[in-house]
Amino acid sequence: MLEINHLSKSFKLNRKQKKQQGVNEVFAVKNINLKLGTNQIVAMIGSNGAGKSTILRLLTGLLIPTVGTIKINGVNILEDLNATRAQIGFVSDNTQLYHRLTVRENLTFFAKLYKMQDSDIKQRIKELSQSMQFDDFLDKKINDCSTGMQQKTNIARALIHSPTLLILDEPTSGLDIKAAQTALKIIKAQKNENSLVLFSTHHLHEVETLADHIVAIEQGQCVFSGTPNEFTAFFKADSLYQAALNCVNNSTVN
Amino acid sequence: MWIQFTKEMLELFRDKKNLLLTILMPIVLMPLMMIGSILLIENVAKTEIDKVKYYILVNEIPTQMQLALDDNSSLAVKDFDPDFKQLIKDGDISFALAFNDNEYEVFYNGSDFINNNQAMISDIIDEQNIEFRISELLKLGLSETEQTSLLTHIKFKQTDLASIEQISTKAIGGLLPFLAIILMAVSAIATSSDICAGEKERQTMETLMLSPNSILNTLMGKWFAVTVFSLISGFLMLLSFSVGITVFKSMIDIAEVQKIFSIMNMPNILMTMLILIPASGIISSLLIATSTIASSFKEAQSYGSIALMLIMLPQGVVMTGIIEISNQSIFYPLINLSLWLQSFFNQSAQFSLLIPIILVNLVLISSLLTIAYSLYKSERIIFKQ
Ligand SMILES: Nc1ncnc2c1ncn2[C@@H]1O[C@H](COP(=O)(O)OP(=O)(O)OP(=O)(O)O)[C@@H](O)[C@H]1O
Ligand SMILES: [Mg+2]
Repeated sequence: MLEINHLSKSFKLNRKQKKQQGVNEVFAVKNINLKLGTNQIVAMIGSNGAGKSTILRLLTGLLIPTVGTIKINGVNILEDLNATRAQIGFVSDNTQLYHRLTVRENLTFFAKLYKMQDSDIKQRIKELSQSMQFDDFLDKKINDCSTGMQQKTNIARALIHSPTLLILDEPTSGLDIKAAQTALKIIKAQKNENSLVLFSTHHLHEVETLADHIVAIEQGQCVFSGTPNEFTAFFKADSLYQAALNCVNNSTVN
Repeated sequence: MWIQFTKEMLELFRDKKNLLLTILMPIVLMPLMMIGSILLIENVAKTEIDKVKYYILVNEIPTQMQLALDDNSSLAVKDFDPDFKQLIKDGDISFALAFNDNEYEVFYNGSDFINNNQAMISDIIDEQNIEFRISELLKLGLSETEQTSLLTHIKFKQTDLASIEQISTKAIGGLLPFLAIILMAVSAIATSSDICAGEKERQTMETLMLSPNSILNTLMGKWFAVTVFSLISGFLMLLSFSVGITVFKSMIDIAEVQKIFSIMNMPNILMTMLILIPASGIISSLLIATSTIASSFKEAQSYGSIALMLIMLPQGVVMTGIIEISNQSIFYPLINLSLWLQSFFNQSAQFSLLIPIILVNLVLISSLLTIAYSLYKSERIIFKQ
């Protein structure tokens, strides 16, 4: 379903950064090749600054690759960005909602941008709010919602147009245990034959409970792609935790 | 575009600061300013009308002039005092008059605007001159009708130049667009920084860019919302200005004040409203561009104040009346609108000029929006880290 070939992304540095680092640009993502099928939840792990967020934003078309291609169902995402965007739902720290609008107004606005019909929008909001249990909050302003409730709405916003590729960048960061659990449940429920869920995280228990597949990124490169069992085996460990540690240590030594 | 527009309007209306700046300020500020200025005018007018002005004759003046001065009920002569210059400076007397070698000399205090009698005295002297000339012409044997037709022409031109309507047309004609444009710019700074830079600061820009909505739609929706908001501000100011004037008109029965207010009639107000539409389009496109470059609300506001200066300085020049609408000045965007409006107030407007004027402004609007568009397309601007 998702095919990434020779994906690289460099950022031009500003004058101050240039002076500090002595180069004009930095490669945040270096030559990534990946193939991921539907009906699975993929966890992306890696150290801070490894390039996870950058990869995920490249997948959504928010950033344009410096080198390489990304294909969804065999079609280059840049060929028709609007068609690509209609297939993708993305949640990250940088995709906030309008705080002065209510949950319903937010969802309706974004649904309209996806060119959904009014009746479909109502139906979809009802569906999502019931399955995700926020129907009591529909007419509350985002400002008045708890962080957990905001994240719920944010995920609902990403799901409003029924995307086939759901991407979440650290979906539980900043949430309390209960809210995080709810968010994870929602993510788990999105797994089906037609779609792929891809999320990044620093919490290994989330990987343990959710992931069918692990992608490990270090210093902009993909150092591993496979099942959790293959991951522990590859890094010669007896737990996911130990494997992840080995993974980080290996790549920093290299 | 409409989806974006309605969202922006909803969001803007939910913010108290925007409402305060856009709606309350023009409504409240205008009457306050008017009360102030009217009290001032009233005071000035009263002192000018009520006060008897004293003068001193430095030496003997021709009888005819003496009679004319005596005729004027607002003037009263005082005994000669060799220190008359000091008296004028102190404001004890308004002026002193001397007559030497067929020439009148008027001593007065030019900085004393309220008691400035220069015009009145020169009128009296002119009248004397005319009478003198009539008598001279009579000696030449011209008929009386011939003389008056010759001389009334000169006289007519003089009074016209001093017409209070014209002066106040210039003042209000310059002041009105000036005030409206300040208020519209203030509103546009608030709203554009809110929905452009604020969108980045509150991290909703990425959410917006994720959707399959063209940048053009987003931009136009935002531009339209800022334009509408600033127009609301401008219109409310005009409305409160004209309501205020109608109220004060009935309260003050000084002819001069009434005349000033008569400029604020229906056609003039309606035309000002029409002219404000393209003006708000320019202001909002400029501010959309500046607040798109900015990465935070604060930054947008400081860019906004630079933009405000850019807008206000030329408008200030217009208000002073130094430049007028001409084949050259129609090419100055925004200013040409207020210049044309001034000519409309003067009843000398050329409607055919509106076509190039609107075109010039449209060119500026589209170039500013093109700049904003290219900023929106740039990763660096939209996803500044
Ligand atoms: N717009 C940008 N301009 C310059 N450098 C950038 C930009 N975005 C990211 N980077 C750099 O790219 C590298 C990768 O960043 P990225 O945010 O993708 O890491 P990450 O794996 O998501 O980290 P974290 O776990 O902390 O979220 C970092 O070194 C970061 O400084
Ligand atoms: Mg990240």
